[in-house]
Amino acid sequence: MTFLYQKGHTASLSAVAALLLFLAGCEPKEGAPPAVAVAPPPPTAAKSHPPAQQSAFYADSFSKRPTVPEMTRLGRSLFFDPLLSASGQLACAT
Amino acid sequence: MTTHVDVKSVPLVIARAIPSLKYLQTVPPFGEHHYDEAVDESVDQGPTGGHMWDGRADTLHDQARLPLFSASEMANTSAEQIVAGVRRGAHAQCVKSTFGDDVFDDNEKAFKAVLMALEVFQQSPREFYPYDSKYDSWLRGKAQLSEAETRGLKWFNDPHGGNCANCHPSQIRNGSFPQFTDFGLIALGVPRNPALAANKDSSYFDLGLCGPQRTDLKDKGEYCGLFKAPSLRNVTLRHTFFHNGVYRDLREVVDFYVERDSHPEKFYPKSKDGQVNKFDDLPAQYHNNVNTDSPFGEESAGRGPLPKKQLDDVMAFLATLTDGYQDPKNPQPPASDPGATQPSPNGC
Repeated sequence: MTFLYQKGHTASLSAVAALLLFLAGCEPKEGAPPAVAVAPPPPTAAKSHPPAQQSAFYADSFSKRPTVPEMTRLGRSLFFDPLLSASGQLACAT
Repeated sequence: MTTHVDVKSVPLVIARAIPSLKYLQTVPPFGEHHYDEAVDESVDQGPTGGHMWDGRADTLHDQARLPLFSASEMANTSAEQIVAGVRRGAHAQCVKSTFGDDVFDDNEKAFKAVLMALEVFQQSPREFYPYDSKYDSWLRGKAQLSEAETRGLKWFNDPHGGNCANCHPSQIRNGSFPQFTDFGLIALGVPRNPALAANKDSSYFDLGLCGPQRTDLKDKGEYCGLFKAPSLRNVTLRHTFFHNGVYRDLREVVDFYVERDSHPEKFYPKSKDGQVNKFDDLPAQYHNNVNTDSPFGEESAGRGPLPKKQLDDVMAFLATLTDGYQDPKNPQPPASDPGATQPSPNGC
């Protein structure tokens, strides 16, 4: 997935570069101010985002990666646990 | 992937019956328009899908999360509150052994762990969508319906009988076993439930799709009074019916469908002037939203109650939708989930 994304990303960057070259070729020789090739935002901009797993619920962000049977067993226990309710009286299974 | 709810806006009162958590894995996300190729893909079926009575939860993730905060259910006001409960509860060690010893270091992480476990459990096939009712066995050709069950099924499907299958399809479609719901939202005009705390306030109306628990469609008057058609699988195990739980006996529910329009006085209270206050849980400007397809409307003119024998047939059929059917001639040991049978050394 990551590889494909990078591949696509690289391809689109090449397309932008080609377009800029093409535009540069069309630039009027005098008169109007030259079209300045605007550089795409540097890839370092992505570094300002928080780590992806903080906003992606299903991304692995636990120190132990549980199996589905483990989570199912815990989920079943919690489902029958009244401590999950505000009153402490009501379980999901109630 | 949006959640159409503002938790803080939900009034702190018991306002709705608790919906079933079974057979939710194929519920589509909510949409205002729905085209079903199994029926007629040129016809807009209108608002369809989503979880909870008003379709406000789009995903099983939200379906696992929202009841924890719903005033009618678990009534928590923050994730911290839930984490605190789990931390001092009997399963704290199991949470640690499942997700790592540091899981409680951070409330957000701990809540995520709890929610993920609940969500995964609620998709456990054995417990939440076993497809092992007698009706499923019959569809597989491994059981015979009795004569009464067969008559009940026929009335259930008959467009001039119950016409139930119109919204609660009973046939295999596109290779999928029937869900007994078309996931659509419609208004039935069910009577007000005076037992609900929220209804002590006579100006309070639960209008479902247009609010108040859901807030994104509050300006769409044509959506007021619409609620999701629930699956009828396991319906005979339920104790409350319709979004407000006004009926507690499935026979009353069938009566309501059969005679709502021919004998409304049986279901709605009378005003002081002696008029039947039909659709008393829906302000008058929304009465036109109420569905009048068969078995309602013209189809029911002059209709009396379903004869008792016929009602018994319908009940017999509905009971075939209850999971856990055992062939009396060939009983099977109960199947179980891997998570339930593995030894649990880690406090689980």
